[in-house]
Amino acid sequence: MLDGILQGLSTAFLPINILLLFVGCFAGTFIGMLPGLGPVSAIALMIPITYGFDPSSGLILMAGVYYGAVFGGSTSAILINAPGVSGAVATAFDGYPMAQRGEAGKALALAAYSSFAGGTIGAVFLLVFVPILAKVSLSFQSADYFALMVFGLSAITAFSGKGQVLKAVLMALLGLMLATVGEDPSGIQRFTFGIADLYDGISFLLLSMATFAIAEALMVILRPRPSGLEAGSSDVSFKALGSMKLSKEEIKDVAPAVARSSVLGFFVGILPGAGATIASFLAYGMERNLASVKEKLRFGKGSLRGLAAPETANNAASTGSFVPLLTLGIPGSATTAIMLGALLSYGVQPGPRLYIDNPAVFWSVIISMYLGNIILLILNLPLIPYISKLLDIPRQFLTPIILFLSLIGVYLVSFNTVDLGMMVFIGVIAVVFRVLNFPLAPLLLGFILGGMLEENLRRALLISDGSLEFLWQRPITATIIVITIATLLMPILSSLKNKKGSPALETANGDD
Amino acid sequence: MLLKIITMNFINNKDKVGSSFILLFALIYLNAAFDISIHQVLGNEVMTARTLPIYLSIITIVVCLLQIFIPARGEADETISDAIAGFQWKPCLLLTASMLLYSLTFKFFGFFIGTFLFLFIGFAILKEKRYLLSAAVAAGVAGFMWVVLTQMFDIYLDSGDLFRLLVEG
Repeated sequence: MLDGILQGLSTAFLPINILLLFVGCFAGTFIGMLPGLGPVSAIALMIPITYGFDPSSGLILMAGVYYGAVFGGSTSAILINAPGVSGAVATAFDGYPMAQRGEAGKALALAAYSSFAGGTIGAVFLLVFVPILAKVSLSFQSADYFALMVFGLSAITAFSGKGQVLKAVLMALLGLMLATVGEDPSGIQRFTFGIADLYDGISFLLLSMATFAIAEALMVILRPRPSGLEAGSSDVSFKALGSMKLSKEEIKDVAPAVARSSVLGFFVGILPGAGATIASFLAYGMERNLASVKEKLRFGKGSLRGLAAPETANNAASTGSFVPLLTLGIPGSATTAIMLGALLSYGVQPGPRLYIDNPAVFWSVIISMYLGNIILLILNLPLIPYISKLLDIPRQFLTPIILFLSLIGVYLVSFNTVDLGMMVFIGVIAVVFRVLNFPLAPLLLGFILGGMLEENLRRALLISDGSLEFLWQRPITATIIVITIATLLMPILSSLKNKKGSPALETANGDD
Repeated sequence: MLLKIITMNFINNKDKVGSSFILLFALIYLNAAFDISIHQVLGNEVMTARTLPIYLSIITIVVCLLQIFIPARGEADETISDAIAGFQWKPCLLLTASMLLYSLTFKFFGFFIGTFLFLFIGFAILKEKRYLLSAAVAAGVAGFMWVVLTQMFDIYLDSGDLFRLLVEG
């Protein structure tokens, strides 16, 4: 393990990788600040650029973009009450009121410190839990993997908002169906209809760019918001940022909230389908419940604890979401699904073997995730007043440029203009689904897991001679199946028990 | 009258319309799944190329029907007419058309001219009236990307039939 950490350190500290991390954090912050564009789009836009990179460098850039986008989302939430990402919605509850009363600088600084603390504690947990889980998962067989993939997909639906469960299931099924297009494991063409461009299946990059980058850009045009891309950051000017300093009393006040939210955020982040949005709402709710009557009244009106809790939790959850990806090769969110796609395109198979076969990649990603937190603090905090000016770029220039970057990103991988047409077509369908309020993250997860799910199911069935006994023969498989069933039943039972439901879960759609 | 109300609610309900789209897709998918050829040698194995698609489509059809026939909750929140109120369709459709045009004419115009035209038209669709600035930004972005991709990353980008026609005759 120590050798691996040292290898990871030497890779992460290569000048080029440090530079990529800087670039990633900066680009991610910028993209994350733009309402409508979140970490998923930011990472999707980076994939074509990183194709020529070695896996470590590519992932380091993406980790930087990820953290930058999460932080950028918080910046626009505080400054203009327009959360760039769903995970930053809870940040706006108290961050924006602080900005309104002339404490934008303090709110941004607190958001940065809280994110850093959440990321740090999350990284420590990651360092401890990932190797243990990776070792355990080495004993996994195809039946266990199949069960795990079904669990991953079911968890997405369980964490969907009220009334969204069936829709999330449908989108995951749609993703699984799209994954069957192309050549099957035995070499037979499926659903290609004689079209040569479909022989290799639908490109993952094409699907992710179309469903997130293109669809989001089109939605921004379709449903222009009163703030954000269009209005710019005019309501809080550079001069109105105020002091960025926090007093000792204030730090003392928020420290317990930060500690609690870090732990909560990390473990919520590990759960497939939960992610930063749910973590931030749960942390906000937890702190509000724990607060004194006097402090409780300040929540929603610019409470420091109300700002620190969701900010800490969403960053810790972002770190936690890497656990299932790195140890089991199963993405727990749309963002990690895109990272999985990128890893596969580099020829790296995430999972327990990654820890053994590619320790440099494994550890450099973990270490660079922590470095990303440090860079965000030292780079973004002083630059916040200037970065926030980027929100002034007019929408009429920005949107076509985003569309162009998405199109050219896909073209540069295949050099096939048919892919561009297909991308626009899928993008339009994605817009229809967004308008109909069908979540797109389960679609992407279903698509990513589809191939692996079929492969493991086929292997498990062959071993068990066609019998479904493999589902309960091994204790690990049986346990995962039981958890899966419980996860699927949980929302149904909870809706029967409590018809009111949590507003936090209603807001989240699993698109982290 | 009752039928009319039910039909209206159905047409205006986001969940039910979305599920109907997926149901239609699943039915077409299921039909196509039966056309998948079976391996001559491995045809009798426990899992063929058809197995997963058939089961997936059956599960999807069942879930779609559940979603369609379960009574709608929060009808007021789920109406399509509410969801699309205030949508700016024209620029969205025009930009979609310009993306399609960009993909169709990419080989003819080549990277630089095609990108310049796409961006310039895109800016204009989004009501940017400062045409000189638009042209400068479009040329700047196209030029910058061309330099980065061809000079820094050594990626070949086709100059296009039009360019060859004009320059090489």
